Amino acid sequence: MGRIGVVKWLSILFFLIPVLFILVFPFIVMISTSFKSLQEVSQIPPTFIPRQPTLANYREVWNIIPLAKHFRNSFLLGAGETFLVLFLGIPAAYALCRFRFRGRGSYMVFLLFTQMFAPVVVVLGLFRLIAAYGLVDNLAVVAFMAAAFNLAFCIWLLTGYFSAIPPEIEEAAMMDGNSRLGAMIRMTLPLSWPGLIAVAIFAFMDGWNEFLFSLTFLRTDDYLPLTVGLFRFITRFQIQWNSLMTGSFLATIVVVALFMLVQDKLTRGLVAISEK
Amino acid sequence: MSVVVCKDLVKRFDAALAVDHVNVEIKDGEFMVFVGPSGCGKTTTLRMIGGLETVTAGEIFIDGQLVNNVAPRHRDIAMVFQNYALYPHKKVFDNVAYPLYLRKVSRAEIKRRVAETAKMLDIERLLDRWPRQLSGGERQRVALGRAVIRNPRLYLMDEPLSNLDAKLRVQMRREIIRLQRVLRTTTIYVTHDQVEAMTMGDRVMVLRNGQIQQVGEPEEVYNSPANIFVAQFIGSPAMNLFAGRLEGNAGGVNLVNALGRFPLPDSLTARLASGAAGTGGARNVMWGIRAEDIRLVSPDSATPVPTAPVDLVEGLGSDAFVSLAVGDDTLVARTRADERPAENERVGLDLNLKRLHLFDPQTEQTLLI
Repeated sequence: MGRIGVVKWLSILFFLIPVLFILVFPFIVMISTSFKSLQEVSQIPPTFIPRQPTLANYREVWNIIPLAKHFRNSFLLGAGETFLVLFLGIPAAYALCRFRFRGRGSYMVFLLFTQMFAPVVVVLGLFRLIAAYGLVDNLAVVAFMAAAFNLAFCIWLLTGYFSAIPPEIEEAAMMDGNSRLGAMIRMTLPLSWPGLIAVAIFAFMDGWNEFLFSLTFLRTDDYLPLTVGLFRFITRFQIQWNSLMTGSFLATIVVVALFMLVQDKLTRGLVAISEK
Repeated sequence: MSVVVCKDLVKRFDAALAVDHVNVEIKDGEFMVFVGPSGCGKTTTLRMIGGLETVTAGEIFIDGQLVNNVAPRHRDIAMVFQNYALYPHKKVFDNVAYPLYLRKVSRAEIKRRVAETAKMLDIERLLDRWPRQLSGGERQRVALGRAVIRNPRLYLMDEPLSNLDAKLRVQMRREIIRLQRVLRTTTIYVTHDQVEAMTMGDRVMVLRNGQIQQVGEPEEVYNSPANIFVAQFIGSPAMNLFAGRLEGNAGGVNLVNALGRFPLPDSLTARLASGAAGTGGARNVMWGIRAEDIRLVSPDSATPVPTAPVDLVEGLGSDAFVSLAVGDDTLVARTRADERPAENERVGLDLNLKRLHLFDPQTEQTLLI
C-alpha cells in the first residue's frame, strides 16, 4: 500500500466514519425509539437496541393524533409550494435570463435581498394581516407564504439552468415555426429538465418541512401538517418520545422514498443533457 | 424565392448604434454575402431580417410585404446558425423533420421529404443518431437539412462554417454553393471571412460600424474598392497602401511616391474623378496596389526600375509572398514560388499601373470612377 493509500484509509477511519456516525446517530435513535415502549424510553441507563421491540407505536400513532390528515396536509403544502414556485419561477427566471431590460441586474439583487429576511421577523405582522382577512386556518395561505420565501432562491437556480441552454436552439425553433412560448416549452424546458426536477424537489421538501407558518397560521387538526402535528407530542408535562419518533420516522421515510424514486430519473436526465 | 429590401434600417442597443441606416435590395434567387469585421452589424442585420431582433427604425420588406412586426414563424424563412443549434433532445430524423411536424405535414409525406433531403445532403446513415454523436461537419449538414426541407422563400446563414476546421470549411463551402445553385432560393450569408465572401456571393455587401461600405459583385469589390477600408479588408494579403502625391501637367498625371515618379496610364487618368487632381494641380493621395500586381524583376534591367531590399519571404507552396522594405513601410508582392528571391536580396519592381488604386487621404473614398 502506498503512502497515499495509507492517508486515504486513515482519513476514512478518523474523519469520515466519525462524521458519518454523528450524522446518522439521531436517525438511529429515532428508529430505535420508535420500536420501544414509553417505559423503556425513559429507562436509565437507556438501551440502544430495544429490549422488547414492539410495533404498537406504529399501530397507535395513527389514533393518538390524526396522522393521516397530517400526512395529507403536508403533502398538499409540498405540492402547493412546488406548483407555485414552478408556475411563477419558470417565467420569471426565463425572462431574467433571455431578455435584456432596464433594472434587470438590480432586480436580481433585490431577489437576493428577500432571501436575507428571516421569516420569523415578519411572521407576527403577517399573522395580523392574515387574521384581518379571515384567512387563518387556510392551507393555501401557508403554501403561498412558504413559496414566497422560497421563490427568489428558486428563480436564481432556474436562471442558472436556463442560461446554460444556448438561445440559438430557441431561435432555431422560432424560425422553424414556433412562437416564443412554444420554443420555450418545447426546447428550453425539456432541456433544463434536471434543473426543473431539482427545483421541484427543493420546493416540495421546503413545503413538507414547513413549520413556522403552519404553527402560526393554522389552528385545527384538519389543517395541521406533520411538522406541527408531531410537535404536539411534546406537552408541558411529558414528551411522548416513542410516538414522536414513530411519526417522525414515517414522515422521513416518505421523503426519502420520493427522493429515491426521482433520483434515478434525475441522473438519467443529467446524462441526456451532457450530450452537448 | 423572394426579394428582400432594407430601407434605412437602424438597430440601436442602448447607446450603441449597431446598424446605421442600411439600404439594400437583395434580388430574387441571389446569393448575397454580408461581410465585415466582428461588430460591424452584419449579424444584427441578418437577425432583423429573420425577426429575431426588433427593428429600431427603418423598414424591411420581403416580397413587398412590410415584415417589421411579423413574428419569425410567419416570415417563412429558414436560418442556419454558427453553432448549428440542433435540438439535442431529438434524433437527427426529428431534427430535420421538425419544421414539418410544426406544419402538420402527414407522416408519410414527412418520411418522404426527410429521405429526399437526407439523400441530397448525404446524411441518410445519420438519421437514427443523436446530435451529440455527430462531428461538426455532420452537424452542419443536418442543420442545412433542417433549413432545406421546408423549402422556404429565404435562407439566412449566420457564419455557418466558422466552427469547422479549414479543410472541412472549404468542402462545405462548395456544397453550400452547389446547393444554392440547385435550389435558387434567395440566400443571405453572413461571414467575417473575405475568402468566403469572394467565393460564395453573387454579390457582396461590406459593412463597417453598422454602415454599408460597398455593395457589388465580388470582382467589382475586389477590383474597384469604394474606399480604403474595403480595399484593405477584401483580398489576402491586404492591399499595399501608401501615401503619395498626384501631380498633373500638360503631359498627363504623375504619381510621386517613395519609389519614384510614375506616369498614370490614360485608362486610369480617365477614371480620376473630375475636379480631383485633374490635369493641373497637385494633391496628396493614398495609393494602393495589390500583391499580384507587382512583378519582381532584375534590378539592373535596361530601363531603370525602382528597387527595394527583400525583408521576408513567405512560401505558400505554389506562390510566395515577398515583403519588401520601402522606406519605413512594407510592400508585399506575390510571386511564383520558383521565382522567389532570397531574403536581403535587392530586387526591381514592376508595378502594373493600370491596376493602381487611388484614395482621398481625408475622406478615404476612392478617387477613381
